[in-house]
Amino acid sequence: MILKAEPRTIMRFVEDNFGILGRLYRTQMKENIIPLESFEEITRHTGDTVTRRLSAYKLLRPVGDDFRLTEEVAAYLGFLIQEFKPLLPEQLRRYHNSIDDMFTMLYLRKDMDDKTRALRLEHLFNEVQSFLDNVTNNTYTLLRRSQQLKVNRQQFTYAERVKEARLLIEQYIVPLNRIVDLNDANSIATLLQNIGRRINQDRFINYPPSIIERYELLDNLLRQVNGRLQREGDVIRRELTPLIERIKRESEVLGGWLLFLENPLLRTVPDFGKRHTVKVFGDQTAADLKMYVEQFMQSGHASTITLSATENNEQDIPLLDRAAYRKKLHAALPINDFFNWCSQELEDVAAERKERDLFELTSLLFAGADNYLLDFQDERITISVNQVRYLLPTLSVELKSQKA
Amino acid sequence: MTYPEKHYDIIKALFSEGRFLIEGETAFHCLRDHQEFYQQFFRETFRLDLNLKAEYALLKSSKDTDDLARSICIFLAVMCYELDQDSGNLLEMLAFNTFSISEWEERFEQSSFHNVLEATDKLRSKSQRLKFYQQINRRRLINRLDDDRFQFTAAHRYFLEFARDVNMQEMVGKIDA
Repeated sequence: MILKAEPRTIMRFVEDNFGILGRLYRTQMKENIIPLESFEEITRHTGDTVTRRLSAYKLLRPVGDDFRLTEEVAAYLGFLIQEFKPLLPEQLRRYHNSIDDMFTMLYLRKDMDDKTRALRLEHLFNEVQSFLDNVTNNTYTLLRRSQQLKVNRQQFTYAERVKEARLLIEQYIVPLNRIVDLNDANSIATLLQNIGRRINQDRFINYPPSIIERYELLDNLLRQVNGRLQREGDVIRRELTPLIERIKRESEVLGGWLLFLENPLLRTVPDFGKRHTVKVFGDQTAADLKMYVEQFMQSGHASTITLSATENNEQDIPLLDRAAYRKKLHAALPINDFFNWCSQELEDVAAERKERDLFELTSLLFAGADNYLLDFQDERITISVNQVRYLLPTLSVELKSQKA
Repeated sequence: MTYPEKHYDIIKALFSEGRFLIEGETAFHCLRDHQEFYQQFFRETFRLDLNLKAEYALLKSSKDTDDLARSICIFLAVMCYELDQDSGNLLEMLAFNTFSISEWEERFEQSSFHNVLEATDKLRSKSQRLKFYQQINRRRLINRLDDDRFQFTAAHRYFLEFARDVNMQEMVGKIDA
């Protein structure tokens, strides 16, 4: 009993000194008790009143020379700052016995009076609730621990990280998974499921309302159990186990690289692909070519290489005899229809040359454009050369000197 | 007899170019479908072993010393060491992150393993490293997204497995001793 103060006063005290209590809680979490030196270190700057009240309000209990936070206070602080020490699975497994016992006691005596029955139902409810809370806290704590391990804030070496990860898996995660495993006949999850079935049936028995009410409450809770344990199981399966596995794998890879880097140029390396190129020239080609060239260098005089005569496929196309045609043009001036004259002139020319010559003739006019007077008319004439039809203007040509 | 449809592509990639085939390439799927044939084909024709995994395939050369493989190991080792200082999962970062060459130039320059890089021909200097990126791009160890950025292909796991083996050997050696 706390004689010296009201609950509110104590709460206010906790609020005012939350920093100290938080540090005390963390110390206790790490070392299980609060050693005197740590206690003095934490409370160095606080007054005597505060240290005295910690004991007076029974927040703190002496254990020999050292201290320990009262169980309830520690649980409350843990809840407030969401930091827990993960429970060992053995600690969780005791719920199997306690829940089982309480449940059996409920049916031990047929002539149990209502008051006792109500009380036992209440205890069973509390025990199940407490089990669920502990499982949730445990999963959460383990998740945090593995995440911290992942980020490696403590700067562990790789070997230490693997060791720590393995410890978490073997000591906590695998057993925890077994506890919430619905497929395991001995797991607490299965026990709760069985109890749930029985409670669900029994709440319809003719009990007084106060007991029915308790049955209902328990039934409700047990209905949620499956869902919650399933969720915890999912977190374990989906996040915790893979996370730890990854840390292990990652550390193995990194550890391997670091070992490799100790001796990077001497260690054997893995086989790698090789490019197998198809060689047009053999290994001998360069030597052969050198020998071949050297025979000419030694011969002393320039060698002549006769290329075999190739048949000349190209035909020489004779150019138009421009001078002759210019004379013809001058003789025919003035011409009323230039292109008509052209086509007459080209009548005798071979078909494959016709087109080319037509343009050559036309160029006669432009080459000596200064000497000619050209008069374009609107009419057009069509001249066909080798199936190509040219639509050409009617064009009269005179010599400038003639006009003058 | 008829050859599998992608025979030319498979031979060109694995044999002529000596590169990884990566899951996702049509040639890779063809190779996987005719796994036994190609195992035998490469063994009988060239005396070479085909290494076919779920995500990549490689034709192993039986060279004793391979400069490129050593350079890749050193490159990845230093890179992993540096990456480990970032928060995040190393293996996921390697598999999914995009890396900037210019940013990593700085990190390599400042790395405590810089002397190891300097002692490696292909990783000696910035210009050598640029050539190195081209080489491992051709071998499909990385995918270059543009001039500066690249991602690792699934083939990098081949070298991570090597690192794990080194670690395992060391562990076993310690237990024996």
